[in-house]
This record gives sequence, C-alpha cells and structure tokens, in this order.
Amino acid sequence: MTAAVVDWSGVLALATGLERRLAGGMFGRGDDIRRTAAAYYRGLGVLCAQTCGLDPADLAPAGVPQLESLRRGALDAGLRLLLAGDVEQGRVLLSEHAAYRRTHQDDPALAADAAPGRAQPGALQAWHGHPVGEELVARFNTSMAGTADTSVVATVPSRRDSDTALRAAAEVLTTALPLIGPDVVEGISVGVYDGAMNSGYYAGTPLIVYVSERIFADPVRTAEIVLHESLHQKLADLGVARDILRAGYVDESSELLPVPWGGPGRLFSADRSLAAYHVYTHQSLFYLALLCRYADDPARRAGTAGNLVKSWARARHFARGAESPGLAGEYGVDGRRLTAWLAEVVDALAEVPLPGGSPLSAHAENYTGVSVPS
Amino acid sequence: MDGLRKTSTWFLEPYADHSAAFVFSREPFGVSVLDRLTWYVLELCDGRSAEAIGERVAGLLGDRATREQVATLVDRKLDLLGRHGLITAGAGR
Repeated sequence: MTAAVVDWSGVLALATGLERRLAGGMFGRGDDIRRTAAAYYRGLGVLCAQTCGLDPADLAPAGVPQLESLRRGALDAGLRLLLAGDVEQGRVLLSEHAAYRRTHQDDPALAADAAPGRAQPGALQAWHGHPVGEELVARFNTSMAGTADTSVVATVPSRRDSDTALRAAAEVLTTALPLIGPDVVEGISVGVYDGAMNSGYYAGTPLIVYVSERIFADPVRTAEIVLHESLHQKLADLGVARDILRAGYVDESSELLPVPWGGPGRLFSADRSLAAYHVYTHQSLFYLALLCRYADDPARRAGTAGNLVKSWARARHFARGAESPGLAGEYGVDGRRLTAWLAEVVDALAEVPLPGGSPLSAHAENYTGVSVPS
Repeated sequence: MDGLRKTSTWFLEPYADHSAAFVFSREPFGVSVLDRLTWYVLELCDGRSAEAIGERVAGLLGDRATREQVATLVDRKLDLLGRHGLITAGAGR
C-alpha cells in the first residue's frame, strides 16, 4: 500500500493560524494576562496591608521570583481569611510572611535569580540548600500530601546541565510555537528536583514550576513539560480577572468527569478538567507544529505523531466533557467562553492528516497515543 | 442638595487592557471587578447629579441607546456602586 502524500506546508499554515488564535484575545494575550494579574496582586498587597495595619512595603511586589511567589501565595491565603471575617488570623499569617520577607530580601543569593537578562525559563540558583528554595519545595510537598500521587520531591543543586537543558527546551518551544512558546515562560522560574514524578505546579507557590531533572536528556519532552506547567500559571493568572469558575464553586463537591486513561476510576473536577483541557489543546498544537517540521525525518516523525494523537484525543475528551450540562454548570461566564474558544481549536484539528494519511479524528479515543507509520 | 461623590475607602487597579478594573475596598472589605461602563460612571461621580452623569453616558453611547435606556442603565450602575459603598448616596433622580 502506498502511504498518502500529506501537504505538510498546508498543515503548518493551519497550525500557524491556530497558534495565532491561541495567542490572541482575552484568553490568549499573555502580556495582558500577566500584567493584569500583577495589578491584582499589587492592589491586594496594599489592601491587606491597610486592613491588617502592616507596612505596605512588606506586601509590595518583590523583585526576586522566590519571594514574589511566596508573597502571592500569602496574599491568596490571607484574603481567604479576611473575607471569612477572621482578621486576626489574616494579620498573623501576613505578619509572618512580612517578617520572613524582611529576613531574606537582601540576600545576595536571591538577587542573582532576579538579575536582568536571565534565560526564560531559568533554573533557580538559590534553591538546593537555600532556606527560601527549601521552603518552596516544602510547600509543594505539603500540597501533594493526600493526593493520589505520593511523590515527595527533593531539590537538587544548581547545575550547568540544567540551564543547558532548559535552553534547549526553550529553543524547541520557540521553534514549534514562536508566538506562545517564548510568551508562556515569561516570568516563570524552574525549580529543579530529583523525583519519579516528571513535573508539577502548585497554585500556593505561583510563578514557580517544578521539573524533575530526569527528563532533561530529552529536549522535546522537557519543552512539553515546561509548556504544560507554564500554562497552569497562565490559567491561574486568568482566574484572578475572569469568572472562570461559577460563584461559590467548591472543588470537593464539583461535578466530575471520568478520565479514561492513567488508571481505572479516574475522575477530574471541573477545575482540574479545565486545566488539563487548556494544556492538552496547546500541547496538540505543539506536537502538530513539530510534526510539520519533522515530516522528512522518519526517526522523529512517528513518536511526534503518537504524542500528537495522545494530546489531541485527550483535549477532545475534555472539550466534549466541558459541553456536558453538569460540567458546564460549574464554569462561570468566562469559563464557558474559554471552553468554547479552546473547542474551536480542538475541532479545527480533527481533519489534520497523520503521516499514514488517516485524520486525527480517526484516533479520537487513542488517549495513550497510537503507532503511526514512520 | 449634594451630587454623587466617590467615597474614600477604596482604590482601583485597572486591567492591563483597560477593559475593566479591580476595586479594592476596605469598608466593606473585598475585591470586586467593575466593567468599563460602570468604571466610567464611577469616575463621573465627582459631585454631579444622576441626570448629568446620564447626559455624559448618553453622549458616549450615541444612538445605541434611547434616553430612557440610558437613564435605566445609569440608575442600575449607581445603585450597584452605592451598594458596594463606592459612592455616597447623593441626589437621586
């Protein structure tokens, strides 16, 4: 049988157009989304300081990524207490953060991570053995306790290899997604650890993504993971300004979507489903753009096509799930707009041909990938 | 009778694209979001009457809204701003 001839330049043009769509509008313009989130946390710092009788400078934006991450986490936690009327506990929590910040803010080791012109995303240097780096990881590990994934991550010393691997990953990301790639990692710092779990993001320590050094040997995998975790930050930033989840949403009692991969009986809440949907939609485009570039390279083509199928099938699963009345009801007005916006991209990819000639839509339930002729 | 005025218990942080603004309020404590038109109405609360604010809003909307529609819209925005403690009660219609 003769393999179908695919017009890869036409597919690349489609991918380019879809990337432009995901990089634009209220859900895509990264610079606007980041600056709006920064405005929110700037204002929240002033409000919390005024309400708790603290020095506003102690809750003002921090120039050092580790301290800015802890500041935003403290403000989120403080706001929850203050909104619940527990001003005393809010004051205690924010005072503790202020004291912690004053202790560390002049540390020259931290200042090195804030130096202008650092690679994006850069591996944090004040990390392994540094009290602030270890504090971040302790919080991340605490967040993992009680989840299905019982991995505990441990910082590793800063190595030149990590920076080299992250630079290579950034190149892959920029090659595949020239608009979204460099944009999504803006302001993101990488905390490198050793652990079986590939990566993680914790909303309590925003702006930091946790990446296992075990993946660094593969630049494409590293690029995928950096994209994945950085997109969680983008969605978190969107969430402070837009009604993504309905008012009164409670994750523990959310409608659940069955997830037919990764083990039996997996169920995702509306919030988690949206986060995964957001990631897999972008990841589909990432692998499609790479596939177009590897079209003449049989060694890379098959694996890339398999990853495209897996990413798209999962994105499509979440797209259809988000349209169900139960899950749609958990989203706010902007959340429903966001899911519809992502669905336009997922649906536009359905007829993209794979190297063997079959369209992606023929693999809609291949959630763990598919063997594609090389 | 005094016109409508902003209270002094809050401050704004606009969105990057100026499509809306966060309002940080000390009393009552909270964070909320104003869409651009509500934000515009709030900025007009500098001692003007509701009628004067309505005229400015009518000028902005042009033939997209009738005078009655503008009056209803402005009343709704002023009511919302008042309930959030962002403006003084001032003169009604």
